[in-house]
Amino acid sequence: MKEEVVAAENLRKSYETYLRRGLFNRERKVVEALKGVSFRIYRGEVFGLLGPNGAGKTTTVKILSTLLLPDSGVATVLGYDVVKEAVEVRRRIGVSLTVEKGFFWKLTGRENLMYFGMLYGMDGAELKQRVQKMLELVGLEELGSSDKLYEEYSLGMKARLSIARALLTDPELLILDEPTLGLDPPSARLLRELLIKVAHQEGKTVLITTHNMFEAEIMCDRLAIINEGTIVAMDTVEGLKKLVSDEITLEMLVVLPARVSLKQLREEISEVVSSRVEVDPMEEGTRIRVVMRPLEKEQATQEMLRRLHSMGCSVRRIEVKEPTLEDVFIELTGGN
Amino acid sequence: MGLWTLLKSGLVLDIYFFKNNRAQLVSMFAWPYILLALMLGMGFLFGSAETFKSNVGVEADPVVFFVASTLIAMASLSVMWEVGGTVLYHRWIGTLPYVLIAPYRTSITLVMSYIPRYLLWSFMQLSEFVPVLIWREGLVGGLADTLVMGLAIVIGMLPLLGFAAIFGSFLLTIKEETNVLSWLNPIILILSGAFYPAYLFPIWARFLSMLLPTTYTFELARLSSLVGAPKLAEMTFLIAVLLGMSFLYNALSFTLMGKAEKRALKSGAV
Amino acid sequence: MWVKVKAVIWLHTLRLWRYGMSFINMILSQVLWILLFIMGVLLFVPPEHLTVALRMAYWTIAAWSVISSFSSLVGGWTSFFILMGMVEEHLLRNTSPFTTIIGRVLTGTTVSFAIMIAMGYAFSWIFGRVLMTVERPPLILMAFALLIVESLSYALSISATSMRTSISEQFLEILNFGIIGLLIIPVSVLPEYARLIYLAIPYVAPTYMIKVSVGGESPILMREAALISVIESILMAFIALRLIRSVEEHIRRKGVRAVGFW
Repeated sequence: MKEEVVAAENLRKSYETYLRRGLFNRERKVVEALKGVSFRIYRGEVFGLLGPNGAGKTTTVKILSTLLLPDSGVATVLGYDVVKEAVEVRRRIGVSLTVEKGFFWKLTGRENLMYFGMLYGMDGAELKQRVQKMLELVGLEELGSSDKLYEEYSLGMKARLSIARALLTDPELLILDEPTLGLDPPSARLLRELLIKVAHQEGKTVLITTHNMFEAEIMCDRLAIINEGTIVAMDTVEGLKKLVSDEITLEMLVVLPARVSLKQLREEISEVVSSRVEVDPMEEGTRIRVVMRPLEKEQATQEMLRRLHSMGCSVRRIEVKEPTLEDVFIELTGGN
Repeated sequence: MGLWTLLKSGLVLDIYFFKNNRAQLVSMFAWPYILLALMLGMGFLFGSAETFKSNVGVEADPVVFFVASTLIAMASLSVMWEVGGTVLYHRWIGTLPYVLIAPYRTSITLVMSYIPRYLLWSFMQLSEFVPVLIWREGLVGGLADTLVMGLAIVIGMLPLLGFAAIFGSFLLTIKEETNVLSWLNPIILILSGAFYPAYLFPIWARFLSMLLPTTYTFELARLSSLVGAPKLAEMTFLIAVLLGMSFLYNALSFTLMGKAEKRALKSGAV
Repeated sequence: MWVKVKAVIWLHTLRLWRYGMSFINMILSQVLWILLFIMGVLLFVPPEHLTVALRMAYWTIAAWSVISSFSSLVGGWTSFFILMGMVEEHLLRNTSPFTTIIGRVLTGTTVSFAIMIAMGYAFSWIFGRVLMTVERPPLILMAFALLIVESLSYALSISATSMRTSISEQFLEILNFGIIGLLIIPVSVLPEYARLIYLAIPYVAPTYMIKVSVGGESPILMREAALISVIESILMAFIALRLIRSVEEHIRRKGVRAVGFW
């Protein structure tokens, strides 16, 4: 039985904005940021919230972080209600809302962490040790930047410090809003590996929002795609891909021995897979194109390779084409 | 064509600013009156117009004297902040690189884009004092005073633009926190005799005040407050000094700004 | 709770030190602006009244510098605090953002008293008059303490309001500056019926007490001024606390938006 860490049920939130009309008039406009969002996140899971700008990701994150009250709906974190038991929730979460601010410019990274640690109620040797450990964990110590002023930090260093602060109290749930936005590849990779490690080795639960498909694919155990305030799909990466296309295309380039005809080849392959098979002679060999169901993929590919081998064919190239997460995203959000 | 678009850019930016920030517009009109009211209110609370005349050593109307002083102080501050301090402002909001890559010399960009703003707001502030001037001097006298002050606003601006750009070039090369303008501005105003005539200073301070273009602008504007004194000869002299200083300070700022820009680009201070 | 207080004091001490140059700039420029202004006023004053006028002006401006510094350094800091993304970061740690903003009392007090001392020396040097002597030290300490409570309450009220709706910085500046004109009026020049009404205006009563303690005003309304100051301080602090509570609620309902000052 998986332990539920986050449970959101039918969350709704609207904002009022005013549009300027001429010199003295303004028009009131209500924007529905969330239109009934529900999901669950389980212990040790990295859960991604994927969506275009203005889809409602940050609103969701802020509600779960107790920073925003929903208009209706219920959300709990580790069994505590984010509205009624905000103090308890805050004791158990680590949050990073933005990587480029949220620290005092004229304090060093270490001093910033000491300050926020004290606000959490930590003090003395315990706090110093924990701060040191976090600075080492995120690599700021290695970079020699722990005692540099925050205003001298690069974006990558700021992001590392932000994660260090989120982890400072050893929280059970990490909530991170676009934690790698704008980072260079080494910093982004370090943070990704760190987050996967804390989730899978230390059993922490991580909720991240991101735009980055690659990141979502390699980090998240499960993903929810949110668009215009509604969750349009939620599953594992594989599961989401199946929503867009139920088929996988396998392309192979083989060189046939003289005794094997194209017809023979087509018949042999057709016996392995249930769907369409195309065989086309090309300049550098023969191209075989097979469209199959995802479930068939492994077994059918092995069988095809065995048969090709027994016919004396040599395989030059093999390529599997399946829908990407980006295809899924575009399809589900209507290219928004 | 190029300079015209620069002038226009300054005006458009300003109109947008005030359109979206009407409180600033109201405060711009309110400040001169508040300053004047406080100065005169406190002055009359602790002393009298007679003491004022005896202290300044000339037959002057204290109200017109302080209207002229307030107006020129406001205009000078505006030039110093908007031309000199604009470099800091652009650096704070992150627009400095985009200003520097404009296809003109930086001093030209800073000065030209500011001129319409200066003229617009200074003349608006002058116009709000016209009723006071007419009240003190009658219709003809009041309008004549307005004319003298308007002249001081225009002629006084010319050397001050170069003078402020020199500070701008200096600020381009130093750290943000060292905002010297915050204390340099009141020093310049004190030494120029903004509210306390420079001719009453000790000699060393009088010497420094002679180097500042604002000293002559204050004197020119305050000629309007003199009762029954001949003004034309003195006015011509002050205008000649201001025009000479315009040439000097603008030429200097043109050279210094170029150097400062190069230095800033080299050191990465942009 | 003590750890949080310690953190806030530590933070503001550290920032005061790190932004040292900015604060020195601020103190220096404030003193110079005041000097510029006072020089104009002194043109009206006959030489035989110069000491009294300077003394009154000095202590009035000293009181004003507390009010003004608190308004800009505590209230005005909120905008920067919001921009730095600090409201959320404090709420997340079960700490009211106002705890940290209140900590700026340290900065405000340091800066305003530094202005007072620098201004005292500058005036004494330029005009050759001794201005900083006090006849009743306990009274002046009490008056400044009450003035600080009133100024802090006002600053926190501005701070809280600026998190809920935008506040015009220009109007605040005008208000801050205009207060000098209000504070400088000697009680004795007012008709008797208007004196208590005048003292009831926020800041006026503690400033009157300051002027009495340096011999600048007669102590005819001392008891009334003390009572008004205490009641006013409690009332203003109460209003500030209520505003803070209501704004904290509002933030959770509507989210933190970078409203601040404009």
